[in-house]
Amino acid sequence: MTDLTLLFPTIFLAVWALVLLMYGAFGGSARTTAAFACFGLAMLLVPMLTKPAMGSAFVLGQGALLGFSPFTQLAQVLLLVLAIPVALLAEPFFEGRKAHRAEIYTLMLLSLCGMFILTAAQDFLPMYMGLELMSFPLYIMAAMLRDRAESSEAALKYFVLGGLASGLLLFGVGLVYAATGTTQFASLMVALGQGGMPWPLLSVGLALTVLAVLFKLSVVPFHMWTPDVYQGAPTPVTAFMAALPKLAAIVLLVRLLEGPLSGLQELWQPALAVLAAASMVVGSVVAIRQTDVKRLLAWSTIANVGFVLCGVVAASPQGHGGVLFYLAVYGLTMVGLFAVLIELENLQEPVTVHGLAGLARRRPWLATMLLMLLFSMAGVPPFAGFMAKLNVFAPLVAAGYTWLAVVGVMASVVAAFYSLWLVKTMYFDVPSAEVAVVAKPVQSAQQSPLMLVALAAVAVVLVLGVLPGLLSNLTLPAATALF
Amino acid sequence: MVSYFPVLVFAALAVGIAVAMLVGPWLLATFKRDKVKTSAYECGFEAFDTARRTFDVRFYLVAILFIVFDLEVAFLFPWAMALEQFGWVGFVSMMVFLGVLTIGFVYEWKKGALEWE
Amino acid sequence: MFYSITLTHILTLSSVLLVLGLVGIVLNRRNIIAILMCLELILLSANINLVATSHFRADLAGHIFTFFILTVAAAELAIGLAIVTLFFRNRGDIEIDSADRMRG
Repeated sequence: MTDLTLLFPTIFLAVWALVLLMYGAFGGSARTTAAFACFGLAMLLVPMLTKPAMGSAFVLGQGALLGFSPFTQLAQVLLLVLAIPVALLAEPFFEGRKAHRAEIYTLMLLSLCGMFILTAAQDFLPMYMGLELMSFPLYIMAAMLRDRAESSEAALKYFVLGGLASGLLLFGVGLVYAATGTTQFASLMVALGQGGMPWPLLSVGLALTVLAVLFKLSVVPFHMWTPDVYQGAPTPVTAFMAALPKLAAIVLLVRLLEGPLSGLQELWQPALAVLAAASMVVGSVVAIRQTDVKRLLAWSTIANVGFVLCGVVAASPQGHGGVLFYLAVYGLTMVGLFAVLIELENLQEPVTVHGLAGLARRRPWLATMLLMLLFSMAGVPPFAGFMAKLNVFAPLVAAGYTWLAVVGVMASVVAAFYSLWLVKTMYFDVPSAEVAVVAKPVQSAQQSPLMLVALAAVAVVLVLGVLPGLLSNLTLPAATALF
Repeated sequence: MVSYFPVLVFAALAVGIAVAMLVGPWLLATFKRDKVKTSAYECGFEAFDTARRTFDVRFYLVAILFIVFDLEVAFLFPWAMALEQFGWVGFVSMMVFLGVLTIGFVYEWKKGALEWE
Repeated sequence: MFYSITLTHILTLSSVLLVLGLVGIVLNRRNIIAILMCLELILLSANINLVATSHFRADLAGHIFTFFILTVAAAELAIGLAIVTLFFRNRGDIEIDSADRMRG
């Protein structure tokens, strides 16, 4: 019988999700459901910070199904910390729109539960279950705006390509199982060490498995779904998709590559380096010619995932620490950006690149926050985005991948170009006549958590930019204990 | 242990056969439409309407709900066979699982998904 | 030879099914429901892999995995059908080519 205290956070999320579902079904309002969801997430932080659970759950034979380490622990805390502001974004957006407003919190919590399982997975079975439990709510949430064709189209594309990826994952797992006779990471590591495996079978199987994770990360060339899904999905859902699943998937990727596949490092390191370079370049370059801001952020996500992969390629504790640091900062920046975007949508501002023209004059506060977050995204010092990039490029150079770091720096310059271009549009361009008419003249003074979230994001980005040690003193020790 | 190397050859064959199966009819088969062939098949009846007519969307809803609850029962059979070895742990686990299913059921009931009108 | 079916034969069968599913998704230009069927075919091919290996290696893990895949696939299909229904309500058809609202 396994020690269930290890699983407490995961079980708590699932139970809380069901409680919220029942509360909503029996007449609870969406507003109070949102409050309960945030309350539950915040309460969960207490035991996770005070009593970090380490060890293995469901031990079977050589390995276990789930393994908790300082690395997974920190990743889960970061996921929770990011989930709370995202949950706050939902109600201001969905209020007054046609959607099942209370259910979205159940879906968020279930997705988070899947991410917790994914980060801790030490066997292909929980990895598959975690991946699906993470993804299914995302498909549903993407379709949340029931009467908008873009929303259901985004969900459909996400679903088909996601289903394809998980099908390939399973086929790969089947091949690995056929070749080695195990689905456990630990036994797989032993089997790979011994050698004598049917290599064609094994290599195809492992490649398909890693491919599925890269798909979730939207790494080039598995990124096709990202722009459409980001653009079509309701904005808070896009924020959720941008900030959280990437973190969970990368933790799994790191633990997969550094665990069972550590013996094959000379194979995956160059391959990932090429994919990272492709993501950074494609994401940054294509983002330039986007007109829809959400779509632009989607391409920017693809580029950012490339930067994150640099830390994985470095294959050192510094690199892995950098990965966590980068994703925490990136996730928070994204949440802040989307909070501002939702506020703009609620004010009936057009969220296109041209629609932002002259925003600084109409809404100086929103424009200022957007400016800071975009600077951080572009990697301009003294914002946290700069430290984040530094934290992945430095280990990369130390690992001998100077060319990749050079590509990364060039891609950042391109990325900085479109961020600065947006800033220029907001501050110096004259709005077109129709925008000036459509946008409400005065800032609505409704008390909304949107500004709170955006302000918090800006504050954290500033503080971490000046004092990166606050976070990197946590990520680096965690990254030395992956398992 | 069997050598798995031929799998590579077989994989190539797999692609070949699959593509051939899809492309073959396209090249070889002749398409001759006649009235009986293209009319909807209904056992015994004369077809009274086109089979391409869209179904009422409510049928889909019922089908969707059915799929989920139908397949979760797949866990019950092996569980029932092995319950003696599991003891209380197995029993409680399955009750938790069924409890979660029940919550789903209560939800769809409360939401009116089971009402036809 | 015909009487000794080995793991290799079954893996070949599952590969054929996988490729059929993949080609079906890529070539299919008409109906989204057909894409859902192709996805199920891919999951099925993976299941065959696991069950066959489980049988030939006398190891239970593959069997257990298959049960999980079966039920998760059911949930996946339910979500897929629900999304297709929603898509139909919004657009009036389920042609693949009508999923073209977003470009760029």
